Amino acid sequence: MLRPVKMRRLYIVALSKYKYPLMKKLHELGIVQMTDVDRTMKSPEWAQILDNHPSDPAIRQITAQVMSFNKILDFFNTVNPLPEDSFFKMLFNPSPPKEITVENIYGTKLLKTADNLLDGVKAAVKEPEERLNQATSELGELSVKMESVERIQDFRVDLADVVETDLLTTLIGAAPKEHVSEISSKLSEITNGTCYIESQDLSETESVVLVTTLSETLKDVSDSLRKLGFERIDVSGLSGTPEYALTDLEGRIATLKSEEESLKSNVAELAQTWRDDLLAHRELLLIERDRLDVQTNFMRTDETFILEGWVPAKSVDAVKSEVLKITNGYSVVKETKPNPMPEDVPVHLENPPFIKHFQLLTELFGRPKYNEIDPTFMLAPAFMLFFGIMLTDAVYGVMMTVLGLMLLRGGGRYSSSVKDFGVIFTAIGSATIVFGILTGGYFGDFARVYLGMTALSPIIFDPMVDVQLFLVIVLVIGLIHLNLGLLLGFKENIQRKEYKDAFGDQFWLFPLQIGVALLMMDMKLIGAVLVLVGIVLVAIVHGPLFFFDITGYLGDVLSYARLLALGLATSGIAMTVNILSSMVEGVPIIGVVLAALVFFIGHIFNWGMNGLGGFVHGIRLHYVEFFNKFYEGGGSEYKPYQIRRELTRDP
Amino acid sequence: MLDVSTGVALAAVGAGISMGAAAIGSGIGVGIAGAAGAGAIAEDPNKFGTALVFQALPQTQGIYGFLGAVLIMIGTGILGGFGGFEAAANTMAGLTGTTPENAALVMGLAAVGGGLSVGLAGLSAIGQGITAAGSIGAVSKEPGVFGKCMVLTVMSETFAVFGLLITILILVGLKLLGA
Repeated sequence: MLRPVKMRRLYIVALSKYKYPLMKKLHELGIVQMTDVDRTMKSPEWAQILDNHPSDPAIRQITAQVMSFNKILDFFNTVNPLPEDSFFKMLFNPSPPKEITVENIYGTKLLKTADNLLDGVKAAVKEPEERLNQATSELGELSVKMESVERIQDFRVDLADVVETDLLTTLIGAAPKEHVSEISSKLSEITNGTCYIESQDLSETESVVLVTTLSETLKDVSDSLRKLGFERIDVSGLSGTPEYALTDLEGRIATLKSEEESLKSNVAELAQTWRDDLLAHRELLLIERDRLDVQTNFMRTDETFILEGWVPAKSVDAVKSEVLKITNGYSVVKETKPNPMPEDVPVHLENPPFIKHFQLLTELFGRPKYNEIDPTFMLAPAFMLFFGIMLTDAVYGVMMTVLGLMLLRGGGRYSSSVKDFGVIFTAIGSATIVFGILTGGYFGDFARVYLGMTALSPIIFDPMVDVQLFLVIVLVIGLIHLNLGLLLGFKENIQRKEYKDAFGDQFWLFPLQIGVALLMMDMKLIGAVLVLVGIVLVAIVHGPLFFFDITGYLGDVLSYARLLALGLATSGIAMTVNILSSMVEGVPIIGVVLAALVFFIGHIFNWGMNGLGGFVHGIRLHYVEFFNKFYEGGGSEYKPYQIRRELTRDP
Repeated sequence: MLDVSTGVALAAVGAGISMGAAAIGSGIGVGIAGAAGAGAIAEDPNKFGTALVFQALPQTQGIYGFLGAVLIMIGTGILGGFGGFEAAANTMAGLTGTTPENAALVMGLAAVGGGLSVGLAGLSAIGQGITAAGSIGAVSKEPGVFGKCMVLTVMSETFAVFGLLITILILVGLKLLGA
């Protein structure tokens, strides 16, 4: 609880023929974190007998299969998307996660099954996919055509005549209005008068132009037309007047759309049939790939292989006996303790049931290093205390607790991070209820002043009245909290034999603080001596800049005054909301409704803003003031080699 | 010749500075953070939640200013109008053993001092807005740094908290509140 879980470095040497079964077993156990053997076996002796472990050719095959699976699943998802929970539904009432029962196959059998599955689904999907793509692209073409025909719909021409033949070519298009006369003069010049031009205004600036000319002059004609801003409109495959063509196009689009719909529902049916199988086998393939990928960390000889990893100390024996069982004793398992100052040991935290949900807040700052204290067990109660003081309102506490319980009952069932927040909110909400009752805060002064419930008066003190007492209390809490951090830091530094840091960073403050206390109690001589001892200590270790250590510590202590300020802010704003709503109550007729509105919106706003404030300032007091005294963080995460199953279940 | 109305005027000035100056700070701070938020949303609309949380942080100074103003108005009694202030001044005169005119002046100046403290400290929201803007960019790129950026952003608020604290201590120390 106080320290990260003890780890052991593990070496396993075994006959190569047991490699696959052993890797499968370790995968199922899920407690060994594999590391690269290469890096530790650097010495020339080792290099002579060990070779790099080649990567398994099956990995490429699996990767290709997974990509094909993804492609088909993506196609299914674009046509027939899987329903997804909205953000709030996910938090408070999530759908249960999908589960697919599938035979747990592995190795060559899995690859073969995946191939067969892929062949089957490809055969089924190929035709509808092609037809759907065709329909979609045709639809696109037709709607482009429709747009251009719409532009010339008042022009009287049979579009069937607008064609290219060996002899004659007819073009239709739009051109800037001011160029129309130039077009006709230019074209008659090029073609020696063997062309026919017809035009009609489309809009203020644009005209439709129809040109018929001999096919042999087409190239020159098109060139000069392009120079004059003529934009050709493609009407191939259309006949009748533009108006008639439009109705025809509309009909064709409608037919295509209905065909597209039926194809889509066809694909949706296919998705229903195949999707689960595809998802399940993709997961199995990914698990198989994990099993093969991890072997690139190993080294090998002709007949054996060696692997290296980290295991929690308490699981070493279990792993050993499993390995010996799988390999029929043809293996060597060796464990060593990590160095006293380890940099690369993975850090696994283990805290009691309730405390462990606060690990989230520790890890937000940084996971402890392997040889550091895990501060979560102190963070949990102190964070609750601080939050309670800063929100100081029983009803707000109930709201917070209800939110936490809703998260626990909702998203907390399936998501561990939602569960963590659920537990944290419930805990800090309960702490707030306690402080609210002690200080008589129920929607601020609402219960006492407006409902006349004198039973709900403050039990220890009224924060709005006994401000000085409140200030003293929070500063004392701050001093206790800081000294706890100092003691821990001192102990840590002594254990690591860093005596200079132990005295210069932490110990000097103890005589100093006691000295100041004695000075205040009028024991001037001893007090002054102790203060001097403290200052001399820090001055020796830290040199002339020691002055900033003193002001820095003073700043740390005063920082806890934010507990008071935020606590008063909550009750002050709650009081203001109550005053405002009693003021609007005087409005005739709608006064009561208005007052209720102001009351609820105001209190929810105050709860939200000060809840957020209490949370971030509670964290801040830990990260900046408390952790600073003893904690660095920055350990690496323990990532055991384990099976990540999300969808599949054994039958 | 001083009379009670000088005190009323000063109390009103105090409340006004408290809210007004803090509102300038919060407004500018929230604006800076909001501009960065809009940029993040333009690239990925899903970042709205992140942007909103960081944009909310510099609002606190405005709330402190509002709280300071209301506490001043409650303490000096001007929430109940001129009569309320006169009554408070008379009570204060009784408590401190001086004339109501003197008591009114003390109350008014205390209100100005308190208002200046929390109001001007509210300008720290501008700095907080700048950090919040940077944090929105950082968290959009790397969601894992949310907590760390939150702590960086909350730093500026320390001074606003102290500003509010001093306002409260002035009001309590001069017996405008809590007596």
